[in-house]
Amino acid sequence: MKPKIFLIEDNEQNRYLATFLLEKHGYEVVAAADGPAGIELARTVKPALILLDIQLPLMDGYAVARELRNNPALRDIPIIAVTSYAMVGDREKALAVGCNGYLEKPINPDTFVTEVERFLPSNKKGNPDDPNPDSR
Amino acid sequence: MNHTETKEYSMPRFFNSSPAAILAVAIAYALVAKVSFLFTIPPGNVSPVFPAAGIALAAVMILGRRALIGVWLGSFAANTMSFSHGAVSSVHTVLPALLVGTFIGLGAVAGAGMGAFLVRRFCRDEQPLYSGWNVLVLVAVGALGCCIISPTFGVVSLSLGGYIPWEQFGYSWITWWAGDATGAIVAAPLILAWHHPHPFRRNFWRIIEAAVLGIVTLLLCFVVFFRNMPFAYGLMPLLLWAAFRFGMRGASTAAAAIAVLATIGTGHGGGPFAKDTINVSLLSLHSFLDVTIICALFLAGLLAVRKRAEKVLQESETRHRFLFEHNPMPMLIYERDTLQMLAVNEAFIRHYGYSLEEAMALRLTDLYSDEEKAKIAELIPRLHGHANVGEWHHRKRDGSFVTNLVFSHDLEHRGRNARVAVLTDITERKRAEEALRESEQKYRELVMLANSIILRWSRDGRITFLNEFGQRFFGYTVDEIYGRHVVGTIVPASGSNGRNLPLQMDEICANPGAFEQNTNENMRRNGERVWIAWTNRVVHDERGQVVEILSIGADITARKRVEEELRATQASLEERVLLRTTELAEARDRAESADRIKSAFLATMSHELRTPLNSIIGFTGIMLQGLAGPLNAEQTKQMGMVQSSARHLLALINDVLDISKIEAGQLKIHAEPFDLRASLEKVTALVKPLADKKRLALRVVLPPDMEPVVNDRLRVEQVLINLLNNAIKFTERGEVTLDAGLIKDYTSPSQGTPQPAARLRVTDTGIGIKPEDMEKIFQPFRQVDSGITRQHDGTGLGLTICRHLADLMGGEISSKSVWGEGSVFTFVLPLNHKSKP
Repeated sequence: MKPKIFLIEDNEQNRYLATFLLEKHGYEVVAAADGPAGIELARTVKPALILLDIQLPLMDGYAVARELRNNPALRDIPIIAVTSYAMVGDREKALAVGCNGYLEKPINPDTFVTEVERFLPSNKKGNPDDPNPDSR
Repeated sequence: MNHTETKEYSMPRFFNSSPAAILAVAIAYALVAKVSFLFTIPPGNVSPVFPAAGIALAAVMILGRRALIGVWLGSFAANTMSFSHGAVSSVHTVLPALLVGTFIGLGAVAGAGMGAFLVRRFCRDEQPLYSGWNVLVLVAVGALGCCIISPTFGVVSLSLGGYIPWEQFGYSWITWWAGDATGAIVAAPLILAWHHPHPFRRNFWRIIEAAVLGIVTLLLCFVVFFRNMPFAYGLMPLLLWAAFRFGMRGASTAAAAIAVLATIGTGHGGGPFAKDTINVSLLSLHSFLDVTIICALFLAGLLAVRKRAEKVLQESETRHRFLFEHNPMPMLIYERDTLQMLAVNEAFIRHYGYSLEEAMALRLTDLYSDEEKAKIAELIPRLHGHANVGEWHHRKRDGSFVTNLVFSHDLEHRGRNARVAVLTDITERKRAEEALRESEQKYRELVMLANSIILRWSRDGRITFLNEFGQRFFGYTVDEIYGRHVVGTIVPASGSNGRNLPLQMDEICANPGAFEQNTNENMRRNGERVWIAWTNRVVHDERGQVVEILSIGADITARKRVEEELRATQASLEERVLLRTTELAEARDRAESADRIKSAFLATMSHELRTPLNSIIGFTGIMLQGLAGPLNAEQTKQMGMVQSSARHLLALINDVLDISKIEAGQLKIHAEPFDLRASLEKVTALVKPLADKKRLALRVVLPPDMEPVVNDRLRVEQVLINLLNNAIKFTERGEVTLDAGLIKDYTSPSQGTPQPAARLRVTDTGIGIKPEDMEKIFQPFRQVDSGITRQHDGTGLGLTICRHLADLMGGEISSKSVWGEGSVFTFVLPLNHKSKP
């Protein structure tokens, strides 16, 4: 059975893009469009990995990450922050609130799935501390 | 002479008791009278010799009126006995004798009393014998004058009593009077002289002389009165000798002796005065004796006066000599005409340093300074008859000068016309006076000319002193300001700030101690207000009462004005600073908020731009991968163009974001050790496809050993990729070369200390850059030759970012180019990044 990846992304096109890419590679994708719904859904879905957009309506990605980390049931699920924020400190801020990885938008369709797979618990070939050595 | 003065006569203590004195007088009188009666001439009891009358006079003069009782008793006894003895004793004879005796006694009392009274009355001295006048008074009034009383009483009584026939009255009276008078002249002086205390010099030669005088007198009396030799007048010089040499005692004693012997001799019918009857003989003797004795006594009286005068003179002389000789003030006597020194005293010798002989050889002018010599010589003749006081400079023997106050006065000195001068040395006094005057002058000048206001004012506020500076300062003269109240003159009625200055003055007067220092607003005469800092001191009198206040003031108007201006300036400055600070704070707040807005805007922009790009790039990639189904050749070509444009747009967004971050200071350098060679190979590999596509040779020239670098690897690679991309982009033929070298002592434009650095150089053979465009290429969106821009895609921000990054990493980028031949871009990278201070 393919691992379940939970996606919290407010932009419909991007949600579709990521879902399309991941599903093409055989993952099951569950998506939510905002933070509170995402937190609610994450409890029931119990995904293997969460892809978290930072710029969200109602509740930003940092707050969502903090909330998720406060839930013991969800505490160990890897979270990858995906953000179009590219200011200094964004990455550090994301890691500080409990995210395991950080991907910058726009995503590269050629490498996206590979990068996500590095953070899956079963996949030990990646280094979670250096999620994207070439990003800038 | 009054009664009390008689006490000055000393007398034996015995006579101090009145009854004893009276008895003694009575006995003496009676005995002497009894002896006298031996010479009694019949008829009656009239004796031509009666010294008892002298005893009576002397006794009353010495003992006073109580002696009169003794006189009466003596007289009564002698006469009564005499008469009762001569006649038949019976009641008929005794009774008249008692009556006659009583009256005769009364006559004797009246004569002696009157005589003593008159003598004392007319004598000019308490000593009745010791002047010529007194002797004459005694003889004329006491003896010759008052002896008319006793015979008058006596002879009348005897005649009434039938003892003397009336035809004998005149003769008897004369005999009685002559006897009494002579007796008084002989006896009274004798008693008085011996009674009077007289310092007798018991000198051997004087005793011998007295003895010789006595013997000669006795011999002469004997020769004259008992051998009838005619030398009676030889008695005169003997009496004068006695008077001259032995005074009143000598004269009276010699007179008494002569009188006694002469009377005895004459009574016996001897001597030159012996006449037919004894009575006549005695009367003529009496005339002789009276004259010679009176002369001798008179001489003795004169001599006594002279002796006393001499004594007084001598005492005076001694006193004055002492006053002159031992006077502590220097004194001198000089002759008026010659100015020759006649006498000087001890103090002069001591003071001037001359010996006595030297001093006596001086002339007065020798004492004076040369300037004063002529002056004094000219002055002295004019001083005659006047006392004079002058101040002169005298020269001492050692040549030093003293200032003397000279008091001089005419004086007859040993028969010469002289002047005596008393000298008071006032040198020290003059010097002290001078010093005092100078000191006073100095202090006066100090006070008057001091450049401070010096003011004295009484407790009631009246000005008693104001120095010259103060007068000038306030604009008053002494006459205008002294005595006036401070308020209304130098103190205005009210201060410019409304302070009640007169009230403050009252406070100072009432309690000056509390106002040792005060600053006051004062007023000049022209009304100008001035500020003065005063120091006040209280002046007390001897009883500690405050009498005056001494105030010293300094004009601080200018200072006060400056202070006030300063205060005003400071206040306005503070206000301006406050205003400016507020403005700046507002500006800062605005700037900060603008910054925040900019950052937020950039973040939002970045997000909002990337979000659609995400889909575009993503779906284009998916389509080109064929994941959404197969594409034909044309579709693949067009989708490739979409992808290329989207990527260019993304690069643009990234570059703008970088510039923004750099300019906002948000771009941080993350220094870490890395392998430069590996990075160089990596970037070369990255751009290799582009070079290959344009058929350009890409050469890499690296040294065999490369130093390890500590810096931001990603940023170094970003810079190199940019430079290499540009070189390839602008080169159509030829080659692009990347080479590396080491600069040992690199001094960056931003950091002063030399340090090792890597030199990374990209050389191309492209179109080159015109010199005038060389700096423009580093500015944002300034691609050279916009016409070519389209041919050479790029954001136009690359070199700007590279230069900023190189600067942030402590290095620099420089370029050289020859238009049409190629360019060289050199990137200098310090081996060890140091964060900017």
